[in-house]
Amino acid sequence: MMKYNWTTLEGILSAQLDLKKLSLSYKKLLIFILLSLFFGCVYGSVMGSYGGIDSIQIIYSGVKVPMLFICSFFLSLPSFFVLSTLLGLRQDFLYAIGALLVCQSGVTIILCSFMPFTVLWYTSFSDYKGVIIFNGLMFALASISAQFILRKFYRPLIAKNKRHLWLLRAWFAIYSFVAIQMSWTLRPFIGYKKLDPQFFRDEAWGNAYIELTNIIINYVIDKLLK
Amino acid sequence: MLQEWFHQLDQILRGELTKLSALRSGSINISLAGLVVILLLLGMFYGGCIGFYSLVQSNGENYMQILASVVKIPLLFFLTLNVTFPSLYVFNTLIGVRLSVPTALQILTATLGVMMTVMASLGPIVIFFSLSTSSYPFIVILNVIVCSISGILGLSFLLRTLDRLVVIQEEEEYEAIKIQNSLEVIDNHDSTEAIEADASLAKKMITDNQSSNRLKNRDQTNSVLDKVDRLITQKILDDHDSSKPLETDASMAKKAITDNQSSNKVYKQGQTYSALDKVDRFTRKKAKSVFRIWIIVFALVGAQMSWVLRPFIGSPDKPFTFFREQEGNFFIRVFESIISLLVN
Repeated sequence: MMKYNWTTLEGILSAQLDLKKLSLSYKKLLIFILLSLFFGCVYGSVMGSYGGIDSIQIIYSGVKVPMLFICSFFLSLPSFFVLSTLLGLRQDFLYAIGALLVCQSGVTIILCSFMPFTVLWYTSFSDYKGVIIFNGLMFALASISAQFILRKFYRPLIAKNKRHLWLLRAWFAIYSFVAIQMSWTLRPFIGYKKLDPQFFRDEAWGNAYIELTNIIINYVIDKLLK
Repeated sequence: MLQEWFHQLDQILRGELTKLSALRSGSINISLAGLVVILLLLGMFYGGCIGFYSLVQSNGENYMQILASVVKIPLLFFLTLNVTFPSLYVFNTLIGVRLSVPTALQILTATLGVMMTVMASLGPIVIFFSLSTSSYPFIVILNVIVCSISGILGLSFLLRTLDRLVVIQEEEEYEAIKIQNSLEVIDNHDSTEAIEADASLAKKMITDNQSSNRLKNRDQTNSVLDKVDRLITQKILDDHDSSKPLETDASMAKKAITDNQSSNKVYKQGQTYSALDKVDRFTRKKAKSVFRIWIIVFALVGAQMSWVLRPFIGSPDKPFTFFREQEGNFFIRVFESIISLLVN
């Protein structure tokens, strides 16, 4: 562990980590999974503190945020592997996976840097919908910011072979598709104060896309009727 | 042994067994038996993924659907293969593409391998959505999308492989014409006259003999002409009179031999080969059209075969049966699922 210190974090955020040296084996990539787990757990705990610092939601959310990232990643991985083989990009698979894991670690590190803002928001405002929107905004900002990291790591791959860009787009499509449903299934992350903390909501087992489509269609119909 | 068969599937996916240099031997080096076993395993896995929804919705009671789907997914693909294989072989022969029965079977089985692998790789996502959602129309659409993606990638693989086989056949025909013309020139060469005149005559004969639909690519024409030079120059060297200086003959030979163009696609440094690469040369328009029409037929047959063999997922509103009554068709059902999703 002495090898991985603050320099590693700086290397991730500035995209100057030498993946070619680190990606010598799949075992070396475990460090990025552990980073995602650690920082995801930390931010998840802060998310769950909305109901109070003694709320069990802290532990639930501390487990669920890393689960969201890791489960979405590994569910999307088999199709990424097959597509990279079909497109003739297998020899770069280890580097590509390393870049994606670094990006994911970057998302969780950036989220943790937003922790003070989240705490300030919780102490300033108590509206539940506002808290959901705020946390959604933090996740969106962290994801967008991490794209800068990913683009820098992926630049040499794309310069080598433009098919990497298409593979990356396919990855985003599959990962987003899975992650959106995963986040819906794993809720609640924040915990509505008027309800008892639960790991899963009983009535929350549903489909994020159907719910989203219903919201959009109802909104459009309301607007048209007015 | 299983490891060897998976390694073979890996080589198919990488495109190593279907690249131009590998296809020049005349057949594809695939162990059909091993590939069929792998296809069965992958198909059964995806059948389990697709039938998992019924198991979850019935709280573990309806396990028969998952068993039925494990059998029906491999059956779907092999029946589609049996229905469309004879037409592929016959139409290829009609348009002049020489494809032997074993080679056609190997190509189609390799195509199924690509399809099954893509489907199996998306299987965990299907399982996740089966666990987390209760909407039957959504699961139907999801599985249709998964099968469509695997079908598109598999049929792209098939199309590229067929195109490469046509290119190889065309190259062989051009080589035969060029050699025939060159041999005629050499056989008729009068040793009292300079061979250069015969070389230019041979070139003119070759270019004049080509139909307007062939050899439109200038690089390919130059490649053929360079090979003519090489043959004629080789003849010069063979007939060289030792009493005369060799320099003139040698320079001619060097020029012809070192100007040899590669007949494989030129890859930029660092770019790797892919099973889905387009062949960068002209293939017969007729062959192209026939391939594309056949692929549409394959897709339509596969879609309707899936309707005939239904149910795969198992509607939560209906009791389990191995086959449903034949009514409607695949496309109407997909359309109804989309409308049902939007309305509900």
